[in-house]
Amino acid sequence: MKKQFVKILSLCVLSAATIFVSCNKDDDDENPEVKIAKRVYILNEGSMSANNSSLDAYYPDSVTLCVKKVFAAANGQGIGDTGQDLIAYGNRLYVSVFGSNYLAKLDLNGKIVEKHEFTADEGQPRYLAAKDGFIYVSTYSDAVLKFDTTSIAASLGKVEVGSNPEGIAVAGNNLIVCNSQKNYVSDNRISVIDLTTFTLKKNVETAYGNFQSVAVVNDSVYITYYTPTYAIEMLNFDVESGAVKPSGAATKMVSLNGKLYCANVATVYDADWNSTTNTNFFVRDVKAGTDTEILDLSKTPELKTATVYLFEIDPDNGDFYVGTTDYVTNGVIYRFDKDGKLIVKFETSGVNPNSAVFVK
Amino acid sequence: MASALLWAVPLFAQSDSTIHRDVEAVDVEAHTQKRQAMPMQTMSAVEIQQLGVQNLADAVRRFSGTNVKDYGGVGGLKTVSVRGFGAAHTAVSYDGVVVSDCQAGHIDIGRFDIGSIETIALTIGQPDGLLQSASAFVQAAMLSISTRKPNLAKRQTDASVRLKGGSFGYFDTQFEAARKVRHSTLSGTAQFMRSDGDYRYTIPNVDSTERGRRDNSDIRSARAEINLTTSDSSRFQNHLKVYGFYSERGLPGSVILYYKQANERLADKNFFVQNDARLRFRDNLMFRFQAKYNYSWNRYEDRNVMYANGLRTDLNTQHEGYLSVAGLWSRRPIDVSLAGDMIYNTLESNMKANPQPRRLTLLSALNVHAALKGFEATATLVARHASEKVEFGTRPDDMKRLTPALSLKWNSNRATIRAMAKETYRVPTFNELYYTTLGTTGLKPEEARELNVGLDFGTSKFDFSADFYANNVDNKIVAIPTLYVWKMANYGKVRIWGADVAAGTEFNIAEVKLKLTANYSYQKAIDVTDSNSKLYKSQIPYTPLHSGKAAAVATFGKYSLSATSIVSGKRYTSLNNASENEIEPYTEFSATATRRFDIGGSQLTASLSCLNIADNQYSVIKYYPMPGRQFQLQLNFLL
Repeated sequence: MKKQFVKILSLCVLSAATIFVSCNKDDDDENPEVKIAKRVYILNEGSMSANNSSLDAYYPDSVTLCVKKVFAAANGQGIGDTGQDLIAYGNRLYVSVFGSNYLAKLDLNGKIVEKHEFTADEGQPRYLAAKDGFIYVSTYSDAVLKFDTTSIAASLGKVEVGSNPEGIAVAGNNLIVCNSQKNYVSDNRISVIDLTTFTLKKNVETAYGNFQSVAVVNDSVYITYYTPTYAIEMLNFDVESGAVKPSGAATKMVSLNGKLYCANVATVYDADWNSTTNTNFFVRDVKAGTDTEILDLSKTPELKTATVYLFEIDPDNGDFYVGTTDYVTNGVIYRFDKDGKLIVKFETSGVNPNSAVFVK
Repeated sequence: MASALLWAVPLFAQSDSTIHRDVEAVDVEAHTQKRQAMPMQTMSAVEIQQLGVQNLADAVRRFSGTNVKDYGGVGGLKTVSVRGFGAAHTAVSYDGVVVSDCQAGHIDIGRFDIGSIETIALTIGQPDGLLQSASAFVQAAMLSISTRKPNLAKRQTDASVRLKGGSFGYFDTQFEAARKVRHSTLSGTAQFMRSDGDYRYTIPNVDSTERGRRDNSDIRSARAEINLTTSDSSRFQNHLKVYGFYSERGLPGSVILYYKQANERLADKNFFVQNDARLRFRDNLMFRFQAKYNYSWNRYEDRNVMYANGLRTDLNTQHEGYLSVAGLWSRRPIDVSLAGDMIYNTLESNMKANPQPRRLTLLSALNVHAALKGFEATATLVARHASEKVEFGTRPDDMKRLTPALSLKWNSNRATIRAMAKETYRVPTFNELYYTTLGTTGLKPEEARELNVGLDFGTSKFDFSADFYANNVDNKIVAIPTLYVWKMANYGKVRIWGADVAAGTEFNIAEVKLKLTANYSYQKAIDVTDSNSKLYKSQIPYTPLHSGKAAAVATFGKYSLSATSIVSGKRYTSLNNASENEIEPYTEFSATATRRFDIGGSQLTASLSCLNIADNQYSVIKYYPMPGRQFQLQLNFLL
């Protein structure tokens, strides 16, 4: 009885989704011109070992419609444990699932087209980047693996980098790799991979370590890292010279139109271990090197003390998407227009929303 | 069990009833122990065998008000929480001496062998007796394990062999031998156990079902004990125990969808020697001395390319030195006892930034007990001073605490009415203080308060008990997430209300003796940390609102037949009491048939059990599935 109800419900959700994609079945590779409603896919990471990662599809034109758990509806099974990263590339979605240890290529309904399960030697997958028909995946085997988008069944090879790499990003013909740590020993190197030859160009020794994420704005590369006391700070990295210099603090970075948009979540504890979280948003003019607070976002009362887990900007219209977490209840997405006016706020289908990608 | 009584009674049979009871309270036969000032539940070796109880966790989960966290399988971690308190609030004693683990805080009760147990007793608050170590009065509840005493009433030697085998490669064998040496009894036990534990499970996954097998669940363990018990005059008793344990097991981990790799292994070594002596000076003055040295070692290993050289190895060694002196003075209607304990704990670990902590704890407990007609009152005051040393980093402040407890009881012929109030706390564990990146040296103790009122009513054919309680926890020690890093903090308040109701009856139908028991627990345990939180007043994780157990045993001559069931309502994996965090209610049925054979002067008991008859797929901890239907055969041969 209950099962049937769930089935009917998921059918309803499915058909709601297909209204928007009715002319976009499984064969959208053959019909890349097909127009679909614009969508924002949101990946909920879930909590560790809880097999509760999920994927939602939000329809920005409708303002309020968010179709939840599209992966589960399309595949009849869940994503699994810890959806780590999501990118959209060539009319497909790519999701790396750390706990469940696979990379999947999905169609725009969220249905798995192809899946790569990582071997014990390849290590568990972390973050994704794409360029020229290839997908790059950082894995916890001190390596970056390369996949051809036409088939991700087997990897095309790997480049050894530093300790358990995290964020990766394409900068020109290079891939910048954030090395993190191993057995609590921070790796102080930033790796640069030459994408033309897919070989290691260099490992740049720095006075910092435990790097987490990277954003590229034109020629400028920004990297975040953990301090030894686990605060997150930002560096500016010069790829050619290998020089790094401190560059303030940000926990989330988005590169758009020559600017770096940042969210920074700083948590401090008092003597009684009550925590206070201060969250602010700013935009950096890369050329001038100046930061301007995005006041309307920073002033939003609910965001002032929220943990921002997702920060993305719609490249079409500059809308901000801010996803918050309390690590226990479902994430909340706040959508602002480019001027910082709140358009809508909605709940996602899972804990810890960490990525949003825009498809039209 | 007769031998256990022998061990205590002849000495003090003539003396004051309080003293008499004090001697009994620690190790002795369970059924005489009802009608306490604090709620107490017991299970005897006979019941364990008749009911086909699997292990200590399986026994304790049949008590009301308990919440056994069972990660499944023979080797899965099993801890006892009582009435909404965390597992570290439950003290565990083994043959009278408190067992500790300063690193983890909670005790894995899965490691104690059920086959050697004479009685298990779970007391909320503290055991009734006054002549105990100060450690026995500190915690919110106490699980007392008493091992089987050899029966040498009629002969010089005693020996037994036990063989158990069952599903999933389970095999367990134990030899026991005992001999009288003048006024002492010397006994030895050796046990070996193995299991593959590779049971199959199914887990729902949206519209599909995940089928799998619990790989890497194998375990091997060995245990040896030597006991020397002496009572060479009417004024002296002594129990010396030497204990050694080794186990090596796989940890299958939680079920992760689509990913079957499981490489975690855990090896444990434990050695201790303990002595428990009781001396009576005059009719109204008794002393008890306890001493213990405990060594425990474990090695956790995981293989994954994410570790240096593909291997992570955590090594932990703990040493404990323990001394306790207790005195009891009686002069009707007043009894006064005073106990002082000195405990020294160390942890050596290869974890990064582990400061190799050493902790010195001084505990003292003062009890005053008054009895007048059917009325009894006990007031307890416990003082603790703990001081820690570290090789580097911040040293926690010294801890000083004074906590009171009060219990009242009124006894009539058939009924007992009781009331209890106790303030208690648990100290932060070494892991909570020092674990790499997670630990916080500024932690304060987690405080607990308990109130209980209850009654027992019984006739020879029927007994009934009901207890109602209100507890709270303050300064709860929890892991708090910051962006990407978790930190331990004193954050959290919990309010708990509940009721435990139990009833039992015994009667005969023709030659068949029937015994029926049932209990029901209601427990509302809500988080009240932050009234602005959307989770304010949510039920705390893994705590069912309703749970119950029932058992029926039929005995006729040499045969007995039992049927048991355990029922648990839904629980949540998180404070977020949403349907996706719900764990389904479950019911487990088991049945056991036992037959006794008399072979000359020897006795063989054979039991066949079918556990989880309905093959229900359930879990106590989400994604740690419990075994489905399984069979077990047990042979006990008493020479």
